[in-house]
Amino acid sequence: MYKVKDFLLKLSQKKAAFTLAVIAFYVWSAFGVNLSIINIIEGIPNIADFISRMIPPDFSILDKMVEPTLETIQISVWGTTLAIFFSIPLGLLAAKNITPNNFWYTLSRQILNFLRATSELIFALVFVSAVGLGPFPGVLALAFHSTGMLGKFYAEAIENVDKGVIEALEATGAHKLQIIVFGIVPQISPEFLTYSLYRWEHNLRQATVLGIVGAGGLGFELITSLRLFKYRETATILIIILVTVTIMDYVNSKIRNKVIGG
Amino acid sequence: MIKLENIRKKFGNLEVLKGINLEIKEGEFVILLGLSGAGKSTLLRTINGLVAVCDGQVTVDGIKVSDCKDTVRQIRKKVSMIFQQFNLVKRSSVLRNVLCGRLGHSNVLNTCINIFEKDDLENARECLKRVGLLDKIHERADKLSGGQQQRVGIARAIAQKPKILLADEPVASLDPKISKEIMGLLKKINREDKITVIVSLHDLHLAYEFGERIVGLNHGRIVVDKSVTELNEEDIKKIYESCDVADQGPMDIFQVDTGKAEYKYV
Ligand SMILES: Nc1ncnc2c1ncn2[C@@H]1O[C@H](COP(=O)(O)OP(=O)(O)OP(=O)(O)O)[C@@H](O)[C@H]1O
Ligand SMILES: [Mg+2]
Repeated sequence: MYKVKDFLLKLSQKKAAFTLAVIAFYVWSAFGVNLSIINIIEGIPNIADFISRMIPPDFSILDKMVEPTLETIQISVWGTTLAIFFSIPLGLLAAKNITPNNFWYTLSRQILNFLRATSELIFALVFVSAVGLGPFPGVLALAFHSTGMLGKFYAEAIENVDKGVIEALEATGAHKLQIIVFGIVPQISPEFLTYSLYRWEHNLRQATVLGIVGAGGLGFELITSLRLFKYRETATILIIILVTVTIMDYVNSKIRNKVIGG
Repeated sequence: MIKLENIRKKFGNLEVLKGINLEIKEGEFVILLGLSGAGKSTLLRTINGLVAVCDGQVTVDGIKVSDCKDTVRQIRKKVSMIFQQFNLVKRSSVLRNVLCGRLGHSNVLNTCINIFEKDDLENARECLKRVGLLDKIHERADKLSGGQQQRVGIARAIAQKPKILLADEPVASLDPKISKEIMGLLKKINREDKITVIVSLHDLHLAYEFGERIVGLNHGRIVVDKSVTELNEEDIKKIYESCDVADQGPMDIFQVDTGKAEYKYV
């Protein structure tokens, strides 16, 4: 009886200590980022002023924006395609049930971790200084980071396939390559498609900001208009981004439904 | 045809096969009986190298089984297998599943870009005809019933043109009527093609109905090996008795555990 009481007391003490620690951490972080409601309230007039200068949007630049919009889409398409291309072999090597040995497994996992940990914007900064301004460094930035994401997703999908099927194919004397093509590909194709399309969607949104660091597309126009205080143009560009992303999301979900549903 | 000499297999500390000696001749129909955990699946898998033995020697059709890649591939061309869960590629067509049986015999790169020999396609149709599923050839595998899926599994196995067919509890997830059909089909294949068949089962009735030679496994040891007509009550006991000292160990621990738990809440 006493033992149980002691036990419960200890438990609640631990819980209380933990709760306090979490609260302390939040308060400390709030000071770190100058989190303050007063600042927000004081900022409201500025925000209102900014928005009023954006109205009405300047649609006369629409025809000039066609090219950067298409460029943004092109960046996302190539960034995603290259990523898919590179993440397939990496994903296979990084899947426990199909990797040839521990060396390849560890190496591919480390590469994927590094690619995933480095954000698109950092890659873009690096590639802009390496290959110069323009859409190409944008493509590379998306391709590198997305390879890290897709490779990990593919590896997980491969690790989740039905073991029995792999065993059955092994029992027929099939080569590893045949096991991949006949056993694994059909099993992971729905996930493969979902992840890849989702990544494309994400890359399109990402492509609209890459231009801020000089990697082509709408982002470049966006940052230029802001620097020149042409806020009415900024508004137009934001609307274009919104419309483009919405349309592509719609196209994406149509493709997904068509392929997976059918 | 198959010779197992003093086979031992351990998974960690658990000894699953404790010195198996077994010889099976060409064309035999052998039923492997045993309780769950007796080591039936493990034993079957030592024959096609899906499980590597710790000690002893397996010889299949004159070839010593080892984990050398070429040897394994050579053996697996001769030995096909069917499974309790059928293990079909669910999203692929019936035809494509049956063609998988030909993978070990075909050119790797050709098959990967979907090129099969004309003979292989003809053979696949032939095999499906034998299991009575020719009309389902373009159906997706997961659209079929359990019994039909196992028939596809059998078609895939005979497409391999094996000398030996291993069946690991092929009817354990099927209803009694379908089970009999599947067992009948295996027997027919054994008779007509002179394929050596080893079936693991836990249902005694099926063993009596279809069995010829019965091998009984208990805790990793062969305890019975005789013709089904000679099988007596004593033998059945030997196969199905589990009151080993080893079995009582976990039970005791379990009771001690619950004892403690009760004490806590008093
Ligand atoms: N890969 C493995 N790793 C660890 N233990 C295993 C492995 N395969 C089998 N075992 C263990 O070996 C024992 C025998 O397993 P096996 O599958 O051969 O028995 P079985 O007679 O086929 O039983 P069942 O009727 O349940 O299929 C079981 O206790 C099982 O847990
Ligand atoms: Mg088993």
